Amino acid sequence: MLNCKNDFLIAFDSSVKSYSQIFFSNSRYLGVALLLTSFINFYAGLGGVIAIIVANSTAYLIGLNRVAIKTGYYSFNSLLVGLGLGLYYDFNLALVLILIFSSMLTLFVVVFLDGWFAKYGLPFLSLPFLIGIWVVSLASRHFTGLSISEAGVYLYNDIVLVGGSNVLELHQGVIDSALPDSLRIYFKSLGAIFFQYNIYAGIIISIAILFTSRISFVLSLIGFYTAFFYYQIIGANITELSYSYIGFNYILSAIAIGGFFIIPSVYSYLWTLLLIPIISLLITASSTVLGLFQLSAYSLPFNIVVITFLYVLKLREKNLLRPELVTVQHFSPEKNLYSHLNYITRFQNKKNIQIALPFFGKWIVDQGHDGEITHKSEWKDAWDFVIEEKNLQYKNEGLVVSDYFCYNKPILAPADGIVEYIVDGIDDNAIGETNLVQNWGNSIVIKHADFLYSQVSHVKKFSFTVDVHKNVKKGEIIGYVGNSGRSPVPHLHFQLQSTPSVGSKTLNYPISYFLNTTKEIVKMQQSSVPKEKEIVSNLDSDLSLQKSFGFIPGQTLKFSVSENNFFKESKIEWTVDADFYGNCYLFCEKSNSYAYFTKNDNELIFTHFKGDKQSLLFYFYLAAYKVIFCYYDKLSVTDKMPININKRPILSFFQDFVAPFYRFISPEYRIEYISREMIFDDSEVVFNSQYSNKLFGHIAKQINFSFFVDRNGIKQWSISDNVSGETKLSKL
Amino acid sequence: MIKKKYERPLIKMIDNSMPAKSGLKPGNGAVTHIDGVSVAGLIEKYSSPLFVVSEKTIRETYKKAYNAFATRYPKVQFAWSYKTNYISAVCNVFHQEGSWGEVVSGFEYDKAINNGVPSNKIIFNGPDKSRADIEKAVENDSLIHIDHLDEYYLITEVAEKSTKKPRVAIRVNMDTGVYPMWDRFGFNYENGQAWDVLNKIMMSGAMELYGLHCHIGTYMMTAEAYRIAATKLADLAVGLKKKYDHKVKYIDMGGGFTSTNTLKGAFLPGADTNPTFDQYAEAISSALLNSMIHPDDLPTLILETGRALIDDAGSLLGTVIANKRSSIGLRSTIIDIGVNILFTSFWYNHRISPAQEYSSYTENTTVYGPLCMNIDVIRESVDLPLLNTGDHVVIHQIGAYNMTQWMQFITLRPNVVMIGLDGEVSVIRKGENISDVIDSEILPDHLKNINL
Repeated sequence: MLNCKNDFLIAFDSSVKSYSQIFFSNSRYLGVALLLTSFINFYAGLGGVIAIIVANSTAYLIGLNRVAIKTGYYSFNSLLVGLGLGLYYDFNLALVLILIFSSMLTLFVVVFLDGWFAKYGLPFLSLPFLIGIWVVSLASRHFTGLSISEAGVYLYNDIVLVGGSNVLELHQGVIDSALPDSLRIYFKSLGAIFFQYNIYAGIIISIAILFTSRISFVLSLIGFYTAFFYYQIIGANITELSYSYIGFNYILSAIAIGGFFIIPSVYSYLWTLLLIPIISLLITASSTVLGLFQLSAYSLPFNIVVITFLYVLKLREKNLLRPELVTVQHFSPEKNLYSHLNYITRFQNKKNIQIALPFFGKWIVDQGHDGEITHKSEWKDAWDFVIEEKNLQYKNEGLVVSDYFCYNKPILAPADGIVEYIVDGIDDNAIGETNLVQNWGNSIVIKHADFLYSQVSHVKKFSFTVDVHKNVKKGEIIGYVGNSGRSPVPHLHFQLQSTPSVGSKTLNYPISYFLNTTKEIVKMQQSSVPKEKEIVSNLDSDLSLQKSFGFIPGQTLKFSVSENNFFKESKIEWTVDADFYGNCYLFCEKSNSYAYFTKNDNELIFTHFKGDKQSLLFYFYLAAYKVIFCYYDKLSVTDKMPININKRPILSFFQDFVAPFYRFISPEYRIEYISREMIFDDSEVVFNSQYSNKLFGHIAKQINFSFFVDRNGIKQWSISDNVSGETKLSKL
Repeated sequence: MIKKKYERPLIKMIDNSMPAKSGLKPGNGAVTHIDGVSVAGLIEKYSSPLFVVSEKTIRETYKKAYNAFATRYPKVQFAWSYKTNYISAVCNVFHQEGSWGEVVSGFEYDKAINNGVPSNKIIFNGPDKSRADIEKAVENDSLIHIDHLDEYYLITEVAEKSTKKPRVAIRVNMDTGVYPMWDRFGFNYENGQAWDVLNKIMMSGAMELYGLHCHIGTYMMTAEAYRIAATKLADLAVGLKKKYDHKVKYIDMGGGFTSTNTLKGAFLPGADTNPTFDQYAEAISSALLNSMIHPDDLPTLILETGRALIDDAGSLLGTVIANKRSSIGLRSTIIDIGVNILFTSFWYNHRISPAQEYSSYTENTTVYGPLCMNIDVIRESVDLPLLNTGDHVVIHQIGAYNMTQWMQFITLRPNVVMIGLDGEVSVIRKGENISDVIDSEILPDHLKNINL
């Protein structure tokens, strides 16, 4: 069934997004602003619209990727060609025909370059536009039907035509005399991107950029003014026309390098500055060469600089991450930055295969990674665990292996896997002696995934409880600690490696979750490496928390909401679902909001939220941002939240300006486990959580949450802050 | 210069043969200090006899026991056995370490509550629970370990009137290959009584079955018995899961671990023969882990260890009253510690150390208490140096049972002090005085006047 209204909306949307694509955005508002701006010169605007319609419908009919069409990915180059042609030539039938076919040509070039560049992970930028417009320019000299338009050349004429002589006076009074030269050129350069060589287009565009992205706005100024001063130093004058209407090369390059393809940071800004002189070289050189063919360089310098620079960054062998490339494009420097920061703090070290400690109870790391004794060079990323009481590893005199606390203690499988290799039959050494011939002693290697094996060594002779090629489950006993091999006293040697043989080169791989105890204070560690002398133990998972927060697609959560002025809802119903890509989320139909999450055996983490920030789902997202399925008295865990989670638009607006360097807004999450009815892992658990938005380190806003759960799920939770008071939600 | 101590001359035959059990020297010399606090000073300040409890030793012993289990089994919980020593200070050291409370009477139950133990962390054991006790325990969500069917019926009755669902476990007795078999408590495993009551509980739905409990005996000299017991309880747990899809939350292995005291009649010292925490832990943990219980369903392991955790922490200080020779010339020493306050001297050959330096000469001695009763013998035969009137002695490892089973008989019960972690001494139970005894007496009017 065709839904005409809907189809029109999609067509309109994709057209509008073509406009914003030019400024590295997918914002509808920016698109509309640019669309209107392009109509300052009516025929230029019309040319652009025709070009988009042609490019999009061609792409659609040929059967190119619909999602890409919707984002304006295929059409923005044609749009530029359309704008250019509409401006340069008088509008007539011949132009329309040429416009149609040049748009098609541009589309083909887009698809071709897309395919070619995608292999290298590079963007095609506006190269297709350049090819398109050059082809038309060269060809059109032979077409008598086309005549050069004078529109846009004489600004004062245009102003009088549109607004009369009064407006012209106003223009002369305000713009020509009050605005500094440099700013005028800046605006003109911005307008030139849309073939609108007038200051008004520039002003509208710059305001539109400011509202879509503060970082882009700042970068546009940085790009332009660096060039401006650079030209002053080298003694050239940027105000000359030949420079000004390709001044946008600096602006676009600055946005692309400073914040769009690279995570905005000090380094990206620095590179932006360094690339300006290179662009100026390219502008002069390319203008000279293209001048021979009477062609303009347009955005060629920008294309060359951005594409080559990105290629160089991609080929870095030593990945210093300064600057760091954007891996998932959010079409906004702010979003790229904030989600990158969020990723770095929350997920960078998270591994797919979760490795636990291979023992019960509290052990101490006797020798850690890069140890003094044997954990060196190829075998540096290993651990030796022992048990200590009162700083001693043994009772009595410590002269026999059985005096050692760790001796004959069970060894557990650190994760699910298949036993790859077992070496057995080597006797325990007497205390103080080492067996250098059979260095590793009795050992077991378990395969957990391709290129991920774990090895435990110095196991007690004939104590293995599993066989080679058999499956083992995480936490299953696989053997007992001994003193075989190069082991003067009993200890448990544990390492991860990427190859199956005993004694392979070690792999620096973190333990997913563990507790470390210092002076009776228990701290949670995640995806980190236990350090020497740390007392560590595994988490005990809590069934109540696991059942309450281990959401399964298909499940529904229903709560009744206590009387409250702040939230309109009195009953809520959320469903758990998964999308096409396997991302799980909680969905609230009433508010059309989504809270995306990931989970494993040990925790639930919300990753992002989409929808109404006044809905209770948003509050739930804040409340259960990260819930670890274990219970320890007074244990608390904190987590960083993305900066754009806060609901204060004006503050965020100002934050964006300085975000690459300094974040004064820092939303934080904290969960604290309060009580558990019994130690049994399916008892009722109470925990509190807290969202606090910090400004310059001071708490500006705080919302407190409290949860009461048992093995049947979340029984009750509450929200309290000083705006909405207290709201209680009870399970239905 | 200190005046040298006078020791009476002694003639002793030199024995060149291998040292037998009677040939060992008493202890490792004089014990002049406990946790750095002088014995003489303690007696001077708190009088003799005096019970001394070392907080440091309690905590260390607890940690040792806990670690022995926790490094072998994922979920371990100790419950302090109140009857072993229910002086509040002692209990609270254990509670601070994380122990729950295990009580066997309404009185002990109230005491645990009074100590601040959350009621759902009290295990109520024993054959004697009154209706009132059970009502209270049900209302408080305490864990009730059912001892006999009559108790089961009583709980059912109480549950009908209560809004709470009683949380129960059953006590199971069984053959663990050890004599004597304790079959007077709980339900027998082998003859099907255990399953009988489990079926009743599961079918009635009147109460919630939280766990399974056993307590196979006392002073168990072999850890293997625990392996057998744990295997049998695990078997019940697996059966419950299969038959009723019911997961028991815990398996309670009770108590019965030995301390290092030497039982009377034992040939070798207890320290050499008794199993260690590690041996018990190994037997129990491996039996549970290697059972058919699914790893995700592993129950919490509860231990009600009493004696093994507290015995070492208690010492009894006393003073020599007199020396004499028996009719056959055997040396006898009378001290101010009697069996009324050292009940365990009926079971153990307690180690006695002099509290002051002495020479290497010892003599076989009988140590008598101060009571005017023939049974008041602390040690029948022990090698002791020559003690003079007023000398002090330390009797070791008396922390278990004495401070609960003692009685006010002939003499009054003395002070109990605890040496804190910082060496600070505090009285944790005041010595009795005469009013403690006569205040609770009621003298009928016609007996008030006596004219002698």
